[in-house]
Amino acid sequence: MVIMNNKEVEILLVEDNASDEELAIIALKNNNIKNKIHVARDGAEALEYLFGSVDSETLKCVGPLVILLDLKLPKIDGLEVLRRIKSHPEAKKIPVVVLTSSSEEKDIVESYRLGVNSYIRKPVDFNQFTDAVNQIGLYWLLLNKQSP
Amino acid sequence: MQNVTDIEQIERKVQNARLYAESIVDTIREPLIVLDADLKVVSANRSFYQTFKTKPEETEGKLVYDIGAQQWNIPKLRELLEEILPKNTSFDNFEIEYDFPHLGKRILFLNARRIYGKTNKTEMILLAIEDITERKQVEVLSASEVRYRRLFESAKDGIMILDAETGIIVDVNPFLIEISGYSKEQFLGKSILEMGFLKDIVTNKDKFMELQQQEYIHYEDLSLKTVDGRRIEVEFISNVYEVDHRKVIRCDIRDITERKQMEHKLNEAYQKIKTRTKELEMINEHLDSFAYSVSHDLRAPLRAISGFAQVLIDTQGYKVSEEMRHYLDRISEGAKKMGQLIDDLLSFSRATRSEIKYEKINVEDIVNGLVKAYRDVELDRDIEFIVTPLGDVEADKEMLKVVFSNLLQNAVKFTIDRKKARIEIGREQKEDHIQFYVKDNGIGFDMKYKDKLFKAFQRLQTDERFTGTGIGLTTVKRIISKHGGTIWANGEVDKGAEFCFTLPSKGHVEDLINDVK
Repeated sequence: MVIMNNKEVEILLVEDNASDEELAIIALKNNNIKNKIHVARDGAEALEYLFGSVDSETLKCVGPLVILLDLKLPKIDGLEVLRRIKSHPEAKKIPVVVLTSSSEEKDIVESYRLGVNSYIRKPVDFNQFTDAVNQIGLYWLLLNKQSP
Repeated sequence: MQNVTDIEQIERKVQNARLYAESIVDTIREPLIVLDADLKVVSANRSFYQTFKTKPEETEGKLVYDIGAQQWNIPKLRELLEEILPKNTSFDNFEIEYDFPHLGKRILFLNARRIYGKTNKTEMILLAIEDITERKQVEVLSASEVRYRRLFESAKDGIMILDAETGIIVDVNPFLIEISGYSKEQFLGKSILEMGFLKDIVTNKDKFMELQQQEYIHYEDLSLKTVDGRRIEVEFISNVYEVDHRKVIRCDIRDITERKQMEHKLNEAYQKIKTRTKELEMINEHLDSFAYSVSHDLRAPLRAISGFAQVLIDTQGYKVSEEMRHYLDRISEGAKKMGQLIDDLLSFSRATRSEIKYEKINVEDIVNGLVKAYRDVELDRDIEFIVTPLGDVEADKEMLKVVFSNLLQNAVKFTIDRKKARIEIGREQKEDHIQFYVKDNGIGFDMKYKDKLFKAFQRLQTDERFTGTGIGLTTVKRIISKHGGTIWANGEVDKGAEFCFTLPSKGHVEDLINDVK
């Protein structure tokens, strides 16, 4: 099943761990999600990609359909990236799925407080991970496509 | 027949006797009244009229209870008076206290006797009234003096009496001698300004003037030097008052050295606790960030191991032999187990270091949520879950979820070989606590090992189907203890197991802990 072939729409994957990045991409591919994926290796890179620079207030890139965001990131951590996105009038419309190792209650609570759209804890089992990406990732990609 | 002269003679004698008696009565300084058989006043002496500011016209012929605004109308007195004649009794020292209009409050002793009348043999009563108010006052005063002296002698405060004019020490009590080390002779007759011991209180004449002029002085935290050069901490209070028209200064000197030492020690202990608490808070914080790192960083390589082993199977399926597949599965399984172990350790450490956040929880919501999850997952098994009403409880929601999740997980696991598994979750209301139980019809356990159940990494099962991390029940026990409850288990091999735990009716254990902080 091919969801879409529009090369302009992208998935922004913010992930510092190379293995996790590779596994996430395989999991997406396993779910026949063939959108262009842009990978940011830390929080600063993610903000630069979206706003042009870390301190910028103007959204530069309106591309991503969904952002998959790890929380524990070098330089600027995931929660801060989430806060910046969700407090920006334009950027906040982009669905953000937190994809993290942490099941610490305070991370979950804080993520939802900041306006995260979904929170997935990366399971050790790869099949479970694929299922989770399937359920959440797919949902947001479809939803975003349908909304004007 | 007696002749007239005889009669006259007798009458004169009687008359003389009467005058004699009356003159005696009149000269008696105590008020006296004479009453007839009807308790009417026949006569009263001068002292009576003077003392009670009344006149014969207002008194004689009147009922004793009616005279002087009925001041003698006292039930007990009536009883006594009315008994005298019929029963030939008397009474002595009947004490009354009365606030007389002209005299103020007086204490009186009343004495009564039967006497015979002036001219004939009619019986009458003589009532003598003795004012003992002053005597009583003297008694009270001397009693209070004795009491005061005793206090002075035995007081555990040093007391010193000074002549207010001269500052000469008039008296010191034994305790002051004890704490100062100076003898009584060294104190008495000296001016306060000469006493080295007191030089920190009365440093100069001005200070003494202050003592003289102020009614009350209170110094805290003074330090005095004893005869052997020791320093003692004292509290000092002075009062100025008059004794026999001379002003004296009474100085109370309380030895608070011990109290000060205690305060000092207490303060030290408090500081130590504060530092220690800070340290513990820091350690806790470090543990927090350590656990956070463990959660993230330890799991990442496991995901890589398990993930890429799986990817290998998925992508190279046709090239992977049965044997290779078996080993890849083993790698994947091992990583998953390690992941579970990390999760359980984290849960255990969280249960240990987290503070309980008490809230009112609907227990049924928690249990039903968990049961639903098991029903969704264990589709190929026939498990009957029986949830009796569980009500509300005051506890930490997340922690209680961990408790039920562990107990249910065990019940589901240990009934795996039952055709029809039966798991019952219930509540019993006890007098001062709430009791929950989770009962199953699984493989049970030997009660010999019941104590091992709750110890970390102790497992009773070697069967691979039942293996766990061995931390679950330890975590559960930790959580229950933290809430102030207890947990225990009943079981029999092959007959199932029952886990019971209690929670206090109100979760105030944490409040107590916070109070101590």
